[in-house]
Amino acid sequence: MNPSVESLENQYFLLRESLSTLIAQGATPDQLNQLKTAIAKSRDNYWLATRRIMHDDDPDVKSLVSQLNIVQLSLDATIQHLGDVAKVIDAITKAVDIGSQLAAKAVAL
Amino acid sequence: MKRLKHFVYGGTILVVFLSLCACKISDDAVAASSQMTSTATGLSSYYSALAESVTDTIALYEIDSAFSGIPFSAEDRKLPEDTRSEILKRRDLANSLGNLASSMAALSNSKAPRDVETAATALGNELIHVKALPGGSPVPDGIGKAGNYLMQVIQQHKEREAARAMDQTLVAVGDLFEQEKPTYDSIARTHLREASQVAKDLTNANGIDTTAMLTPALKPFNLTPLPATKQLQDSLKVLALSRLQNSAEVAIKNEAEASSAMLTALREMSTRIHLLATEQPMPIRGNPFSLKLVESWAASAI
Repeated sequence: MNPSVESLENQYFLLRESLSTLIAQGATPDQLNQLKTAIAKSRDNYWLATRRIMHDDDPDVKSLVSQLNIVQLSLDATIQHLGDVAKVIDAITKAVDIGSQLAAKAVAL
Repeated sequence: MKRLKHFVYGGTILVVFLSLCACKISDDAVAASSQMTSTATGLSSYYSALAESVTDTIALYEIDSAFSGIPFSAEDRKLPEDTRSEILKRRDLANSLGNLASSMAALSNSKAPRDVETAATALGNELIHVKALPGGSPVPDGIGKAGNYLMQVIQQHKEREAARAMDQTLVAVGDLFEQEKPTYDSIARTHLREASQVAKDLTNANGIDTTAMLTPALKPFNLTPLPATKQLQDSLKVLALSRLQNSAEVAIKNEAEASSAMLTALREMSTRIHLLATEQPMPIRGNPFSLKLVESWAASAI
């Protein structure tokens, strides 16, 4: 298995699917722009990772994949039970940052 | 890339091994050439279809950018294009392997050692020319060495060494595919999930003509539907979304089965070459059965 690539794939689609949810929840244009930027970043992270097949046995990669999966589970629940759009955007930004760290490991290896 | 070097190297060794068998050619060697050619063709078809799916994914990102406003700059586009370029390198290597394997039959039919040497030298030169393909990577050096090795083995007639190397190399080809298979599956899945996402958004925005779905009911009677009323459109939309989901799941499953079948074919081919290399009889002469699944998927995916 290659959980790092798969985690980044799942993150992108989670965020992409959240766009219509956040629009329906009345996110402001600024918030939507932030979300769209985060979606694009998440997509870039995924393709960076596929370009360099990652070494999942690297302890740092393992740790980042684990962090990413935990954050995404929490993010998924937050999007489904949406209360505060700003908090969701903040959580999304943090999740994408972890994805960027993971993709950076791929480039470095 | 190290594995890629092994892959290219494998192509060289295959020809060396098979061409050196020319002087004591057996039916097994001829059958192995045919099977190896088919397997390499299947591998090439798989990579072509995968590269095509990346091209389609890029087109989908463009649509998504226009439709949803998600940025997709020239810099963003370069990332999937780079991945596509890597996939095409693997396809080209599969093609080289196929060309070299198919040349074995011609070599084996030659009675004159001089002809064999001339043909094998031409193949060696072909490998050296592959140098120009993947710029800047360690691959060209490996290919050049492989070409030189070909010449040396021909001159020294190291049949046994070539056979052992061939055996090991086919294992490496299978290892390369096995290691990267989860990423291939992810790339194909990403294409289908992205298409599904864009189609879903278009359906929800009433951007598709759902009346086409009525064709099975109206076609037998040569009837044409009127533009759908809002009520009909809403009802058909639910059905369209459900079909989208199901079709995407089936297509994802089909690709995963095709990549597994490709790996099985590579492993099966490796086992057969091992028998040949260890001078044991090869009981199965047909192409690896699982290749049919790969060809069927590649034909439907392109």
